Amino acid sequence: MTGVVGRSVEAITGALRSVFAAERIAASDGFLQRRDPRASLCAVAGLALAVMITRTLAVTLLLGAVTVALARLSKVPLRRLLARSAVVPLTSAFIVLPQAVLLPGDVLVEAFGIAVTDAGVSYVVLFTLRVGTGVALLSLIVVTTRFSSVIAAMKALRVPVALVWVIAVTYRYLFLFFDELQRLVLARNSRTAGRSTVRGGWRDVKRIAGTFLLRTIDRGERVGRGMRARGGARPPSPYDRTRTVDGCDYALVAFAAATVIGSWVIRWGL
Amino acid sequence: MHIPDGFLDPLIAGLFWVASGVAIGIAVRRARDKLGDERTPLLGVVAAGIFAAQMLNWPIPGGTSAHFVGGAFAGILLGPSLGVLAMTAVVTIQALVFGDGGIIALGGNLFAMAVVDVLVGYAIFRALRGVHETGAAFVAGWGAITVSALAVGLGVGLSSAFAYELGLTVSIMVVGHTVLGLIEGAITAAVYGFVANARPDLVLGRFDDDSLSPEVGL
Repeated sequence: MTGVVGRSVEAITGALRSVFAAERIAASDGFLQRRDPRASLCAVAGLALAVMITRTLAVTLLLGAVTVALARLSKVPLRRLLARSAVVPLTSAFIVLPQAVLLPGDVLVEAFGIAVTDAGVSYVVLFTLRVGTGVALLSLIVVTTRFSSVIAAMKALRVPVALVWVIAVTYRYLFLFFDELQRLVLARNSRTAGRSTVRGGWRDVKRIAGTFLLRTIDRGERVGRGMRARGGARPPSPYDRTRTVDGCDYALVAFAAATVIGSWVIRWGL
Repeated sequence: MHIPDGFLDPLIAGLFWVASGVAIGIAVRRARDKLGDERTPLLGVVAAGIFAAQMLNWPIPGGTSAHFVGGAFAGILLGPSLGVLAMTAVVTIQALVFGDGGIIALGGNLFAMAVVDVLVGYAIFRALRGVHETGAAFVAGWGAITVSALAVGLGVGLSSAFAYELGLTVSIMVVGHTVLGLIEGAITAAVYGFVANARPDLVLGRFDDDSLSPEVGL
């Protein structure tokens, strides 16, 4: 596969690989995998909120340690978690790096008239760690909870059912369309010889995108006709997975709630 | 464009959640009125198509590539309420399946990419389509992404977690996306032109009920 358009296949393959890897971890028997998805979602969101509230390095490090402990308990390989979570905090560090010299404070190093301050360095480190912990928490939910369970949790958490169904159907057809798009790009590439210009590449990708979207709409219409033929009233698929919320689920949510309150108290006091 | 957790203050993130929740709630109600409970999920098929189309690399000079965001296109193709719902599904799956953005920041990402992008794109297209349809699609794609970037710049700039001033975050986001938005506009116009040529029945406003497909009523 060559060319910018051809690299779309690599992007699709990369996305699929990460989803399949996450599904494999989600199928293992770990702490978060055994939890009710409502409890995991609420707890991880609570921990992320606690990270957003804090401005203290020690609290951020503690919440980072909690994230690592949850990952270990859930049999998530730390290398994989780090690989998933490293890019965003590193980019964020690059964005806020000028603050190391912009923020006033005690001078740590001075060269060429530029002074690096302690307040600036503290801010950059804290900001990067907060973003890193937030991203790691999201990655944790992504790799330990199957999306079908997340959909069931959304329904149980009273997200409007029409929206839940739209999300469920989007997820259901996504992989089919990834496959279809991959085949379209592959077919176009197999008919193309020589180097493609930017203009030629645009012409190709416009045809691929247009044809693909038309096929998508056509499939939607066929699914609609199929539903009508069957009477139309039956929802596309059941996602009602009732589970008993056990003591561990309550404990996890209570722990997350306590973390939010603790983070709040440390920042603003009682 | 995805905002990760850590950039927004909890208060700003909460306001984004409220604004997105209200807009998506209205969109859900209108979609149910329009399509009914049975056919609303079919919107997910089109949403999945837009999501997959985002994976295509569009070549730009210099050997690099750009991606389609698709909010304005969703608004043009589906109308405001169905477009908001489709992009809500896309942004939610991006966060909870692919780990793009953040959990607390999901409200902000929904507001920028599923609400503002779609509604601004739709409004611009609706206002300009009488002048030139493909041109209107271009301006819709460009304008929508720029206004979305303004929303992100405002949210991040107003957050104390991010040390840069509001003026700077807004300027960088708006100026950057005014330029990058030209690519989104060009992609929106190219895809719109292709789809409109092949299926003129899908073009918004050519039928009284503005439905996606008059034949099946989706």
